[in-house]
Amino acid sequence: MGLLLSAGISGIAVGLLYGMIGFAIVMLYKSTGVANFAQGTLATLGGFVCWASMTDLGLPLWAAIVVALVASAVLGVAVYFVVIRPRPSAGNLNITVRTLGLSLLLLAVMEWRWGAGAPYRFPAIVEGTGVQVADFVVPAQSLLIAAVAAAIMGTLWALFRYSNVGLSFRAMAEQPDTARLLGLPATRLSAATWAISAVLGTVVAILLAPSSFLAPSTMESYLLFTFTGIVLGGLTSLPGALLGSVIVGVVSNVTIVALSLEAGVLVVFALLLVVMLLRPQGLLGRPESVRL
Amino acid sequence: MTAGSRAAASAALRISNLRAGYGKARVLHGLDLAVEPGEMVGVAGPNGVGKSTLLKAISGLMPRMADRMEFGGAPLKQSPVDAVVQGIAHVPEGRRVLADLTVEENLRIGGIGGRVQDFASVRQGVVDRFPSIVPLLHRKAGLLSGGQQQLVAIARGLVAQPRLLMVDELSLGLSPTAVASISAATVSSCRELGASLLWVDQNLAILGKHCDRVILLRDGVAVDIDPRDTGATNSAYF
Repeated sequence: MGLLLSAGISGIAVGLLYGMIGFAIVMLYKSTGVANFAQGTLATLGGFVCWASMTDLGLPLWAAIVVALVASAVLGVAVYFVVIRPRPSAGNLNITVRTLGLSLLLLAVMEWRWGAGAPYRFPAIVEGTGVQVADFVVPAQSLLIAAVAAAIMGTLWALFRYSNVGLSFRAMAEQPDTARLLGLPATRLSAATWAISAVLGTVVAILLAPSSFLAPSTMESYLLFTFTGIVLGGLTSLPGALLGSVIVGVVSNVTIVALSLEAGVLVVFALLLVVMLLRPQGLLGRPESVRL
Repeated sequence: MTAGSRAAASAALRISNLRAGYGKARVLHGLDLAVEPGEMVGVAGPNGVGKSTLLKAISGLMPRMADRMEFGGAPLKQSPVDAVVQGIAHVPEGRRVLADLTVEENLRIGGIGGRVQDFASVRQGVVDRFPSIVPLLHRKAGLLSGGQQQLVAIARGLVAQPRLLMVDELSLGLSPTAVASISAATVSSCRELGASLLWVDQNLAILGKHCDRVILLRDGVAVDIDPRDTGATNSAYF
């Protein structure tokens, strides 16, 4: 029982990581109508920038993290202006496929540059075994993940709720045309959204890498779990992306410990199908309705 | 810039030989239009004649060509953001309130888009002119009635401190009582703020009642009409 409980707790931590990636994807989807398939590879690239800053430049971990976060913000903006923004008339499907192409391109770049020696060991930010609670141990890394996720999500929530930028973002997410008509700077807001989502991805990669090792395709398998979490949560709901991902994390972790690794994957995708059949709008999403 | 200075400054709209449309379907064929500072101008005309196209062309929402397109002596750029900064607020057809945001947040968005410096006092001034908005401030705009949404959309436009307010189909789908009260509040607000009004509507009677001047769009150009002259109006419509 203690084993299952601790699997559940580390499942929450993993789920929060899926959730932060999912949050970034939903945020972009809502504001630009584009499902960003490059979210995972962008995150991995951020992880590699951090790793290379340590091994090639000899920076300490904290400095390497700062470099990686700044680099991914810049990269996010660059991706927006180079890959996403040109020729908007091509439509959202075209732009979504562009993100798929970008993902493959970045994957190839990472394979070319770092593929030979992968996977790499990545240092943990926190050392130690963690905190003893009753008859099981909460790993220090899980506590760190929960703290970072809470801090980031809390900050973003306050930003969306109270700041002018957050309010403008919500207006743009709901009605891009009206937002433009009212004079909101759509280009700058979109660029900022890409920067934030790239930074979120890098945070996740840095938190994930100590346990999963770092390889060019590290985030790919996580992305499928993330998409399951997003659909579970309601596709366009930001809190839903977080909630759905945590459920996916807990369900898969507990099943893995109770049964097997394969069963964990099976249960998650079975859950996805059941939710789509019984509650297509997800847990926190709204049913599609068209006003006539 | 201090609060209100932009609203108080007068600005004239000058358009000559405006051509605009959707792809190959051109709707406006060389339209000339002048709106004097502080003038209330109504634009009438049947469906599909280009009334909304005219407003969208002015605010830069759609591609257009013109020999001259100036507001307050400065050329109008092909950009909605620049139009708002220059002092043109566009209340679009169908209200388009931000449904997931509260009424208060809708007003804030108007102020953000208009780069309003002293938002609190500008907002208070607008709310004072539309007292019926006060009990709605903390409700989601999407849950309001059509008339309430129209009120919010116009208040959101006024919070941007426009020198020219453009309203597209104010009366569409609203009860006569709602139309009467919203029209009166809108026109008196514009007069007090020193802003001009360019008001597109199918309801010729309401335009005639409130506007200094009514023009009719026909075959993609503008014709001055007297809204009380039913004979001339009928021949223009049919």
